Amino acid sequence: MERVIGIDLGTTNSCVSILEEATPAVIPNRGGYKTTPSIVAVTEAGKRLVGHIAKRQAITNAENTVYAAKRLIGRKWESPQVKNALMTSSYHIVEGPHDDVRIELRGKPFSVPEISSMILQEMKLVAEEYLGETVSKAVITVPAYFNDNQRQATKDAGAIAGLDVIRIINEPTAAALAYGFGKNIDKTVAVFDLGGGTFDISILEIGAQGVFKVIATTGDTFLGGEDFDARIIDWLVDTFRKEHGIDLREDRMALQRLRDAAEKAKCELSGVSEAEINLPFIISTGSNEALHLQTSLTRQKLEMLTADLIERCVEISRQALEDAQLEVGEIEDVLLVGGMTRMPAIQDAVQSFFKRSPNRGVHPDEVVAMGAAIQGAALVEDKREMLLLDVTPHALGIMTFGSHFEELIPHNTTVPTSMGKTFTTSRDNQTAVKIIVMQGESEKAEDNELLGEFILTGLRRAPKGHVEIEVTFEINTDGIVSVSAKDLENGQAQSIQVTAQSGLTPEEIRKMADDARDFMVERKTDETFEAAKQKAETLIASIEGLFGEVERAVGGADFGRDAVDKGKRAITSARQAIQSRNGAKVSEQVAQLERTDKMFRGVLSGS
Amino acid sequence: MSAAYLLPYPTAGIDPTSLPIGPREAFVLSQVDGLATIAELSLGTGLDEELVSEILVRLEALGAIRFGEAAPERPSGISSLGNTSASSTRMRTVSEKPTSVERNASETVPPDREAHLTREQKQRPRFDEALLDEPADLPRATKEEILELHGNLDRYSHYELLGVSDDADRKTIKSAYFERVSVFHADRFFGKDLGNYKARIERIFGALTKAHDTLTRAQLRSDYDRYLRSRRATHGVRDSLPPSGVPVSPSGAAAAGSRDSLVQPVIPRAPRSPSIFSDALLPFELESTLDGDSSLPPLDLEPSSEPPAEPRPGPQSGLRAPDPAAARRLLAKKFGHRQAPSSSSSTSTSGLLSVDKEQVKKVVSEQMRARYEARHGGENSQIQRYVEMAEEARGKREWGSALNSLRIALSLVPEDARIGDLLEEIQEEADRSMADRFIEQAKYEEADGHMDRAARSYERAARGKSSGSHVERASPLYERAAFCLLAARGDRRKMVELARLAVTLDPKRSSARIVLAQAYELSNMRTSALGELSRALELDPKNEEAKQLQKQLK
Repeated sequence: MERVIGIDLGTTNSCVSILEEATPAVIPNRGGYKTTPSIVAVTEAGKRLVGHIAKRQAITNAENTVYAAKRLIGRKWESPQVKNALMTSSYHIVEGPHDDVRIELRGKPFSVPEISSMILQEMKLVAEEYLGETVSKAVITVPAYFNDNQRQATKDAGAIAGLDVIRIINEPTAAALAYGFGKNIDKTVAVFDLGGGTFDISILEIGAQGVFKVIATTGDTFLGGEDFDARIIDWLVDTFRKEHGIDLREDRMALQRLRDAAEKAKCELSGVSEAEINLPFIISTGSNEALHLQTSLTRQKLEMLTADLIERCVEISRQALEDAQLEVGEIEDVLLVGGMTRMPAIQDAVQSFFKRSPNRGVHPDEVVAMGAAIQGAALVEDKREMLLLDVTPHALGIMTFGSHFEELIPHNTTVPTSMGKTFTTSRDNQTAVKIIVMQGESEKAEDNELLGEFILTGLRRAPKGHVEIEVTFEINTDGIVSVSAKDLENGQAQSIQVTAQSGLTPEEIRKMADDARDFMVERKTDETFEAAKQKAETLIASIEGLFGEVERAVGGADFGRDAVDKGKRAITSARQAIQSRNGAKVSEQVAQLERTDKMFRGVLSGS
Repeated sequence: MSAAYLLPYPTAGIDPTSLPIGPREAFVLSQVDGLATIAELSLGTGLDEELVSEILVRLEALGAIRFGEAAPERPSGISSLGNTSASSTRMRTVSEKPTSVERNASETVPPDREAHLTREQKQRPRFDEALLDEPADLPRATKEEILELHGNLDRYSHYELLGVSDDADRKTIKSAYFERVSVFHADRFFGKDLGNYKARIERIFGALTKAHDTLTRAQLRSDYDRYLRSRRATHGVRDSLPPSGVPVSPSGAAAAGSRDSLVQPVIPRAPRSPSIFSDALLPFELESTLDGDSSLPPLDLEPSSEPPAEPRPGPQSGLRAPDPAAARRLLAKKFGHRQAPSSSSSTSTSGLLSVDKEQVKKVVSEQMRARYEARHGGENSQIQRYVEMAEEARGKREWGSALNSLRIALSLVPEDARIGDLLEEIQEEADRSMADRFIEQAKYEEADGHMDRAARSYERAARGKSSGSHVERASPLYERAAFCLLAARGDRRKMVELARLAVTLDPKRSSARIVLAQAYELSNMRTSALGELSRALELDPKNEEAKQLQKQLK
């Protein structure tokens, strides 16, 4: 049976895992790291870079390096989150054709799912190299508080990467799964998941039959490590401006250096109480003079800068408990997930809110991918070991008269779930009905997330009120919404046309998937070429080094001159092949060079 | 298939003396032990199988027994005894889909009895077996399990659905839920083509989850428990509303209308007093015909129009269906058995006798005479007993039983105005005393999204409130009933009717007029709707909703 990988597609780091003999194993990447930075870059030569290598070149290639794309996935151009990102990102964000967001890299616009697909493709490759076989099925995790658009876009990213995404699961739920899997426990647990970009809190019941039931989940998809970093950056920028009267934000490279320094300082402060920030030559002034940024940040200062963020996490946790109708004392264990939970102030806040010390048995960076791998295996294998019952984090409803939001499925409803609603025509001979589907908690429609406008077309011509269409709203186990409709009189299914959806169209996804596949082929060719080139260059150097000796040894003889000429010709054709960037040709030349090298060495040893 | 093989089981905790039955029924009832098949009961009682079946059906309607599936590893020794009749035993079981008679009958069972039924006991194959052929990558047994549960979701209380007792604690409920959802969840069949079964599994899953979510939250559970108690307390009173379309009178003056509704087979089939009917236990449908009920075609006793064969096996056996042909067959059969008593015991299927038209006429005329005497004698002890039972139950405020007894009495003598009036009176009394309970139920049902049920409960409540001196108090309830029916997209005539009542009882309520206008609009009575809206606006010129509607209509 084909194996299913679990991918934690994080804001700052991603991780891939697979179930091996009933134990989830995290797969290290080529560099030996268990997590891979969720960073994508395009070099000047048009080369795509993903992961650590992309991160390393970020400072020198800031405008073409995308980090934290997850914060933009499934977002609309008009959304405040995108406006915010426009202000702070070092890369170019432009408006897409569907009221969505595109990121311009070296002049070419990429959709956010495409960017994410590059990361997914990298994770797929990591798994394939480890397993020695191709992988096509995956379970991908998303923040529990993701809405339908964000989930859909994540699924699209999977499709573009050539993955069959058999399930989307929520990150905190995945963490709970990894924590409770196979342990036969009966407990009510809270999962506090503060990652690079998002915060989720989920309350679950784990019980008999390996059932994991989420009771309540809530969160904030714009609250995470990035925001903590931003506070440090703000502080650095403000301090610098006060001192020198220069705004470092205006220089993209300076901003990227600040970002790195801030993250580094934040991480250091989880272990020590004071961190040095030292950025020499951060910016040059007009008068040919460079300025340095040199300061130190104390843990206390950091906690002061981020106190409101921590308070917000606690506030959201309180909301989750309220939604679950549970008292703090009823929570039997608290799991900390996400790199940010290493921050002592956060651990303290969790401890004082839940009145118990949090569980330290799970790895905050790896546990989510492990949970995804467990779910993947449980679905395709016929063993009835576990069952995940998750909830929808947002209420689903429609916009009614006067821009009012009519809730159909409340938040925290266990999925899959569905709800029927009857619509009638309001005019004689009306042949179409428009239904505006939204997700959110506000009574005012405009404060909620628009999922799509569904237009029922081709209705029977009849006096008004005579055509009754039953529309079924459904949320599946991925948390993805679908809408279907049927005519109540004749039971016929009605066609639904979706407009104003911000996601990608199926054609676009197909095309992007093709591009991605082509790119993979290209990348493979590239890799063969690079390898051949390297080999060729080594041989050329070796042969060139031997010319003098060979000439000295057999220069007088005709065959000697011949040999030297042959060698020179081989080097020339090899250089030409390298110039043409044709891997196969280079490989041919490598063979020729090898013969020459061997011959030279033979001549020398024989003499 | 296992679905068709059913056995009668006694209902626990039932007192046979409380039942309106005769010695035959009592005899059969005494033999029902959950082991004996119909053939064996026939042997044991010396009554023919046809008769036993009929009695059993009646007993079931009274809640004295129920039909359940036979245990699979039942010793086969006995079946050889009833060899000849095996097929007729099987066919007689209740594999047909529920008729309204059956459903209503079971709901008239007093609450305490109902409460004793466990989930398994109530579970009967109530699914369309054709659905088993729908393609799905599932074993047949799984399909049956899914169909059975899916078909019965609405009948079970949350407790029954999870298979826990009413006083189960949170932990028990939680583990019962986990146990059951790990069977009924689409992920258990991941990658399989489930066809239409996917939606069914998801509905079952949804119902189980709702049961769990309600029962594991203190507030929700206590609300639900109150609702359940209330429903049980109003059993028997609850579902005797006239079918929609029959005009309801708020003052209860339209006795004729109500009476009509009461002789509809909303009630259990009345057991006939042996004193009246001697040996012949005629099916109810035939009796109606003899009474000249115009709802059935005139009785044609010509046996040639129907082969005098035994009722065919299979779901169409029609024992309960109000089918005149079946009634005719039965009559023919009864008659035949009386003519040839020797064949009555074990070989019921063999003695198919041709029916003498004259004899049939004779029987019928005898019965009519008996009926006539019963009606006009008035002192007939059996009827008197029902009336006394009703009065007694009324004294104890057991409205369900009181009404039930009277309905039975009335079904015996439908023209007896005295009984009719008494029934009307008790019904009103019951409604009055139950009105608040009905409001309580309606509110719960409305909040729970069961708008059609809520409409019925509001209507019942309204009827209860409309019989006092402050009839206008019923107006908001009728309005609410109409509103819920609107929301449920229910019967349009009914919603107009309810809204009209709301307006009639309190003409000054603009909101009632708006609901009426909406009901009119839905029924395509635009002029009336506009009229109602302008009257509503006269009463309340600032009403935005009315203005909005008016704009839409124009």
